[in-house]
Amino acid sequence: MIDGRGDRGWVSWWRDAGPLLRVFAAFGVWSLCFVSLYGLQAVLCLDAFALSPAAGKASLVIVWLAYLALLLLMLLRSLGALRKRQSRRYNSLLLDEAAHRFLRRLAVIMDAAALTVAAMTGLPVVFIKTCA
Amino acid sequence: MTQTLSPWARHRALERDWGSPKGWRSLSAVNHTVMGKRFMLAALAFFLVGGILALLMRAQLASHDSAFLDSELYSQIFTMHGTLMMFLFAIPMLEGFAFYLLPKMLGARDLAYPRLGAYAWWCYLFGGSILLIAMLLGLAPNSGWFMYTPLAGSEYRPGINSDVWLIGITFAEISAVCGAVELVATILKVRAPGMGLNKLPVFAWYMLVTAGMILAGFPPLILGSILLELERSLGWPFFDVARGGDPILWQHLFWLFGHPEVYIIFLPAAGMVSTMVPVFAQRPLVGYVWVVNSVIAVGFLSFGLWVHHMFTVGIPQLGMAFFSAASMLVAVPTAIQFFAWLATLWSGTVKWGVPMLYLAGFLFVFVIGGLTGVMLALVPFNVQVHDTHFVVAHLHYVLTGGLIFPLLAACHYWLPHITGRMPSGRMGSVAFWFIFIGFNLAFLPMHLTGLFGMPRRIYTYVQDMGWDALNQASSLGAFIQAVGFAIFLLDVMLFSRNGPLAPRNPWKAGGLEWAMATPPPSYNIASQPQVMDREPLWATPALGAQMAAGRHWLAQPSPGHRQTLSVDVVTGTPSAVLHLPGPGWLPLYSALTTAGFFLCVLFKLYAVSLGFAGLTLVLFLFWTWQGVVSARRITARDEVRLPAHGQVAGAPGWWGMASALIADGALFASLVFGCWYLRLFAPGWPTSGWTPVPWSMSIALCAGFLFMGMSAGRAGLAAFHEQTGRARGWLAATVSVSLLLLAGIAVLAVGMPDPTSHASAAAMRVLSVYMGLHAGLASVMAAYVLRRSWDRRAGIALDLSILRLWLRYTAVSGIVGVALLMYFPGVAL
Repeated sequence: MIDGRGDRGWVSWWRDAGPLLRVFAAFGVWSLCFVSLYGLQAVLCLDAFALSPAAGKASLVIVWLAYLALLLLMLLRSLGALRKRQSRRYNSLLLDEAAHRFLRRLAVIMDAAALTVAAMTGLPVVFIKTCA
Repeated sequence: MTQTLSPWARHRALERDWGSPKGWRSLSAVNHTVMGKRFMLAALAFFLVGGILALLMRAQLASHDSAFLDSELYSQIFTMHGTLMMFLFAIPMLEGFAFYLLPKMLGARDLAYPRLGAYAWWCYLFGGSILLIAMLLGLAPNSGWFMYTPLAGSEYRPGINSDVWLIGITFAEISAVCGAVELVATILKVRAPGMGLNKLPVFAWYMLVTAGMILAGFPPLILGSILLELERSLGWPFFDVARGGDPILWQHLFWLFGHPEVYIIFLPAAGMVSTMVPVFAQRPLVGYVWVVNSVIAVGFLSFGLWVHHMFTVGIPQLGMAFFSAASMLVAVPTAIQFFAWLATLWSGTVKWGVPMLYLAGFLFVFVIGGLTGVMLALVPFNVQVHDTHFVVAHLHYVLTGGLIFPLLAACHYWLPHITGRMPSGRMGSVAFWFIFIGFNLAFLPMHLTGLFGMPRRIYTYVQDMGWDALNQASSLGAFIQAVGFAIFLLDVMLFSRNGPLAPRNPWKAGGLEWAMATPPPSYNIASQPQVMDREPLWATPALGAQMAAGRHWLAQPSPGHRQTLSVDVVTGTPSAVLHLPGPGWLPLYSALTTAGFFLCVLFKLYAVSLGFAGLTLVLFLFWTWQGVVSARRITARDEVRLPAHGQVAGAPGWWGMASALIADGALFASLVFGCWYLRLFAPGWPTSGWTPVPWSMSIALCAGFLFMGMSAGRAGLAAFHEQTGRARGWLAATVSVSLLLLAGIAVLAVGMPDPTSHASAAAMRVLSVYMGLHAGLASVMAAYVLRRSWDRRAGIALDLSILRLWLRYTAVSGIVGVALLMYFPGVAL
């Protein structure tokens, strides 16, 4: 007999959709990184802030590196989760586990892609003068 | 138990429950097959009108100094061509395909919310009709499909032409957002048992990402349209520089929608390609996981490209570099999909047929559009060809290549499914060559016309510019293409009535949609299969017969009920039985009252429009009240009994509300962005006349919102422990606090400066209306759940979980709103 009752609240919600949202998370972080860099380069150019170009660039580079570090951490964690789970071979025979394993693989690829994309889209910070 | 009925008896029993009414009562139909076809037919009608407008434009531009059309008419025609094709053809056509196909591909009997699908169709039809009728009356919008301010403002466009666009498009976009909510909930929750995310048909992945993009991408334009309409009608100056506004804000809001829109159009079509290519290669798609990865990546990256439409408006160099980099990067995941298709074809045994011909055309045309896209991502080149015919050529290569060719392939491919008859291979091939040659003749020279400096949107040109021959070639190509489309339509119309009967699964496909009779019965499948493979029909060719014989899930009809399974998001394990509503008039009535609201706004009858808004709300409440389902457990298969969907956590209704809140959140984020943008870059800020919100009022409002965020959780907890009285007490308190909040916000709004005086006052008024609207709706929803708690037919667990989402969102957005009202306009940076 399948028991269709579930828990209420965030726990059951996360159990239901968490692995899928984890797949999207890395590009969510990239989106924040992109918005932060674009927003900051505009805001820092305002007269009110009066930051020197060097200070402006330094601020942007720090923000960019912080996001890269976060994405790298996410990638390492998803890689670790993949390796740990794959060592438990018996699980792979289960139908449910196949879906979860698929999502873990997907999460690793997404994390790596988001890290690369964040590195590429932020690269102009290093080469182009702020407020030009 | 499942063997007690013969297949024929089962068919008749299911048809009684699922069949749609005939004759004029068919207007009350809600079935996804019917709604999908209606979307497709209406979109085709809009496409034909848009195509005729394109031919008129090409006739005008075929020769220099042409007087075939005058400037005003030409402006209306190019505006309507873009508007019809982008808003009323492309997305609705793809949504129509998705509505029709997805439940069948997912092994389900219908979409998650059939009535919402019907409402979406009516909204789309009414919204589109507003635009078409205006065009017939000579009042069509005439500022371009992008409605740039100040050109679209009341100073330069004093008539109602721009209002028609803003109202009609907003109305039609409601349809798209409803469709997206429907698709997200369906793909995640309404599938066949065993269909985990690893076995999801690839088209469903594409549509899931597309639906998410619609939820996040359409609200910025909806907000922009509301703001521009407020400026035009009430004089609230969001885009007026003299009073603290900025016309560039419109461009940001428009392209925040506009660039993702291109991918919203491309991705479903690419999903069709990813579905068809393996069938014609007779092997599974190469790199399924990489394709899924690239689709998600495109979905996100497409939101980081919008400024490449604005490289010439004065963005700082560094900002442009970010968008240039992102614009080039998006080519990578797109290329991954391309290589997956090529690898699939390369490693398979390709069967040539008309759909494959169109797919080959797609691969050729879209690559050219993609490459010119990378060229346009480069700032210096972009600046050089900005607003020239090069951009027109690029966008048509992308959209025709990325949409029309896959769509034509899909029409040929799924026509036997829809009509039960095979189209003509010979006529299909002739049509293809006309369309392919005509298209390239029309748009390839346009790259040169643009490089030679011909601006877009000009209605005529003089003789000595050197553009004549190229324009004549383009015009000739457009008419050849039109002949091709006429042959295509003739083929479809003739053969869908008189063509040879289609055999079961004529293309030898592996997808579940081919496991049913064609044309499909109203209930799709007699029993829901246990899915074990990504291409179920390739793994189990007899699956269709097994399903018809009732050997799988929900084989026993339940008279008077429309049942389908609801599953766990990740694994596809069945969790509940979903009870779906049958035909009804509420979607049509609700769409009519919504249309009444929009028409009253168009004709400035604001008091009446509020009446229509209230009526729509009442109809929605009736609508949800009808959704009461029995609490009993239902036998889903032999020894398996499942609860009704309202009894389990994460029911489709919860997902629908969560999806709707994503759209709501995107609208609010766009509003906050707009306020900040004006605050930072528009002249005349901060305003001297601003009076900050008093501390006491701010604290009271924040406390109210905090209580609201917490109260539904407490009510849910009490209900879970069967403390009925306490649960009702919390709900009653929520109603009271919501009303108090509404009153407080109203007092605040009344004390604000005149919104016509400055953009800051207008922005703050809009913010307070947003907060007030949410608080008001919270009180209505809480009162509804409170009243429903006396209904003994069903528990209120699902209602409470949906209410909790709304209240928490309202609380968070409200507190952010109060903070903005307190600190924002008067503070100098």
